[in-house]
Amino acid sequence: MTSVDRTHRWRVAFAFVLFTSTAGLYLEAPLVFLTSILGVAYAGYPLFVGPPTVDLELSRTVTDETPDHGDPVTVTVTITNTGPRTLADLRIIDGVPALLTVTDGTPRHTATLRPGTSTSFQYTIAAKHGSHRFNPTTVIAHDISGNTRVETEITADGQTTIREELECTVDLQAFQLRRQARQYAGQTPADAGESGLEFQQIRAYQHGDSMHRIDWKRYARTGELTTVEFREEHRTAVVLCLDARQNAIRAAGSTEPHAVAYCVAAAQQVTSTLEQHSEQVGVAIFGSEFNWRAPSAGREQYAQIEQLLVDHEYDQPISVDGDDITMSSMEQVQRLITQIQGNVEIILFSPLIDGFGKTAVQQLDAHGYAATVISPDVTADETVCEEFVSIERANRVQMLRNRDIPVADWSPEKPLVWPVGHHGGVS
Amino acid sequence: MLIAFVLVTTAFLITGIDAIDPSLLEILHHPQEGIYLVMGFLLIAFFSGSILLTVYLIPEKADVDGYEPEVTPQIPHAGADVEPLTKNPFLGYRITDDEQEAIRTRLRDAVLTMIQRHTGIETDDASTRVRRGDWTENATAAWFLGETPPPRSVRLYARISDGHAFQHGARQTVHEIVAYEQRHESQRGHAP
Amino acid sequence: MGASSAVKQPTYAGSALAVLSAACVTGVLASQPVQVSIAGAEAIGAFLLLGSGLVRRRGHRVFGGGLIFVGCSLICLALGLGLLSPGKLFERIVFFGGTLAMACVVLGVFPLRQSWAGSLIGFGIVIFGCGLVFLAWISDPSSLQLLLGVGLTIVTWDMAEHAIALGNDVGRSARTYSVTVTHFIGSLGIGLGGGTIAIVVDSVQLPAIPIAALALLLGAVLLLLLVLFLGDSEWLSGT
Repeated sequence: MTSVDRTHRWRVAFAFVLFTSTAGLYLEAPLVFLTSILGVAYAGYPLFVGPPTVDLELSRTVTDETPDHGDPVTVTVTITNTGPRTLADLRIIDGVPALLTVTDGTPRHTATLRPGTSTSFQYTIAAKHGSHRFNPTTVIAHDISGNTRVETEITADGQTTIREELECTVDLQAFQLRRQARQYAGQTPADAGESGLEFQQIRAYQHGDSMHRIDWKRYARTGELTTVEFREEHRTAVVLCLDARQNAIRAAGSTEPHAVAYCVAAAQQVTSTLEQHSEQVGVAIFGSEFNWRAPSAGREQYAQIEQLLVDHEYDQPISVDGDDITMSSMEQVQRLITQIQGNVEIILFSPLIDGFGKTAVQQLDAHGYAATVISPDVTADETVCEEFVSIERANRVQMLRNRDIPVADWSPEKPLVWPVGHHGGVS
Repeated sequence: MLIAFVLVTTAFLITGIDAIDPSLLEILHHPQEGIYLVMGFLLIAFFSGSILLTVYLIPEKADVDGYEPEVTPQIPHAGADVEPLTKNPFLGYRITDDEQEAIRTRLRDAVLTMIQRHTGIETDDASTRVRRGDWTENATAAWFLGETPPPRSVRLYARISDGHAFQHGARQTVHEIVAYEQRHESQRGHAP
Repeated sequence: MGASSAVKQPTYAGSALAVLSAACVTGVLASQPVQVSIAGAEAIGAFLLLGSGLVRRRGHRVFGGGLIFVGCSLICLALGLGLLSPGKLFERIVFFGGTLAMACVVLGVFPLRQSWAGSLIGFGIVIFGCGLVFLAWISDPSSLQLLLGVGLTIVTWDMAEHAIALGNDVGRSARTYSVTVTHFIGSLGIGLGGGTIAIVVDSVQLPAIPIAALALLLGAVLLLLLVLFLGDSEWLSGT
């Protein structure tokens, strides 16, 4: 995308010539009239210089491609003039990823570049959770008179010299699905007989089948060995629910990413973990519109989920009447409940700074879906309002935990430790 | 372009004639030649000046992309929606009756859960406490959520309007909730 | 330092060159030795004012505040002295106009207020221009002096506008010396070229080119250039 503009800044010289010549004539002062020549020279200045030809090569390197949250990352940008002419006035504005702030130096630079020469500059950004993509670098070139302004963007286009991504993944610890927790912890909740394992079919006994699974009654009746097959554990699908509503786009401070970005980062990490185990994953995004992908496995599915999630990372707050959205987001939960079938485990990513997350999980829980809540803490304690909201959030976390719903109260500076249910532990 | 060429040729012609024989120009002379000349030039200057000015005054193409690479976009802080409640009641923020009820319910729920969270008592006990205003020393907050008599400050505000009294009460209650939380948090911190 | 958006104020390098040229124009407008030293004092004040921004950015807030105070006092002093300096009434008016214009330029690039930068500089340049014409009318400056004044006035405007535009694009914290100096050299070169032509025209005492012819010639050149400008890029790129 290149735009060529004429600034017409030397039109001022015309005005000047008109002024001096008129004044010279009127005052009959030949000297004043003479100075018009100077004005004419400046008015014609842009005609002596042609528009700049912008042929540039960019390279961008970072000190750490996979930094941790809060780490400073130094970005070095080098620009080389590969064109045949000198660029007298080059202004470079590097496209810092939208959610990251510059902590030191400036991503803006100017240079005069002769053909073949290059210039480089550095700045430091603070890494935050998420996969961050650099924006195209904006380059503005003026000719020496400043009359022509060529503005263009340099994108990577597969060039390896330009680093485009900054992966700052969430440190996910002790991740396990709820059914695994049940299995390994050796505790069977009271209702496991109903919803935990589902009877599916009976088939002929094969060598290696568990003794406990043999249908002894049937053996006594008919004499043949059959194995009862339960709906297998790994066929439980996982649905990642993302709270990307307008009300969730809240940040703890002006330099912090908002809650939705944190939720997306956590969800991405969970997706890639689930991908390693080839789990069936679906995704439901509550936002200005309801996005739903039914659970399944497969590389394509994971890629699409990734894409859906990333689409919401850069969501911006827009001013819409809040009430409508809350209404429709509850409808979205209803739609989710009608959409999902079978044995599904829900992981909801929500900052819980308003009632939505809690209500949604309670509804899902009431429908018998095992739910886990991952809640990035974006509340602060600087004003009374912030503290009040943080108290409300603590209340919601406690209320969910009281209902045996595991909640991760995750402050983004720390690793995300996967929550375990409080079955039997607390109550 | 053409006009410019005509002008240039005329200029050269005059100069040439003048150089060859100044008297040839006599026919062009007029008693008030100077004034005509000056007036003519002024006229031209005026017109071209005004053309120039209109061109100059056309609003420049505004720098539409407000993209600032250094900073993250402005995102409201968590708690921005409660902010109006904590403002001074006189700052002209009106709350309708429905909203009043919603706010009161929200604050009451927050207090109930908070008390339960910190003391571990049952919901009924907590709501009794709130109704009696036992949870706080702040008479305004106690009145706002419970059934205790309004303190003097509330009565003063109520004399202006009920809306003002409500806002005063809500503000005090929010502050009191935060104070309560901080008290219990610090207690928990001291006695691990 | 914390995260802050780029301070989109006129860049220091360009501003300093603009102030320097403005000081030279004020010096040209001075007709008495005492006025030259007043212009010098104002220039020092102007540079202190500009430097305060740099100092404050490095974190020395108090020192920066002190610089602002001293700079402002010097400029005010120069303004007062410019009005009261000895000399004929007209000379004093011209010189006071010069000091005022310079103060405008300095406040424009300081900047007193971001949105006023362009207007303040424009105002200063207009005063400079009027002052120079007035000077040529009342006294009898040499053609070199006048051309220097006019050329530097245009350079002042150019550098100040460039500093504002550059500041808008890359902010104050970016390194801008090379670009600014390149631009300055370009503008100065054109000024020198134009000035040389003007002096040559002035010195070649052609046997009285009638002023009518000169005016027509000038009008023709102007019209040509105007057509080139307004007749848009296709005319340029088409050839």
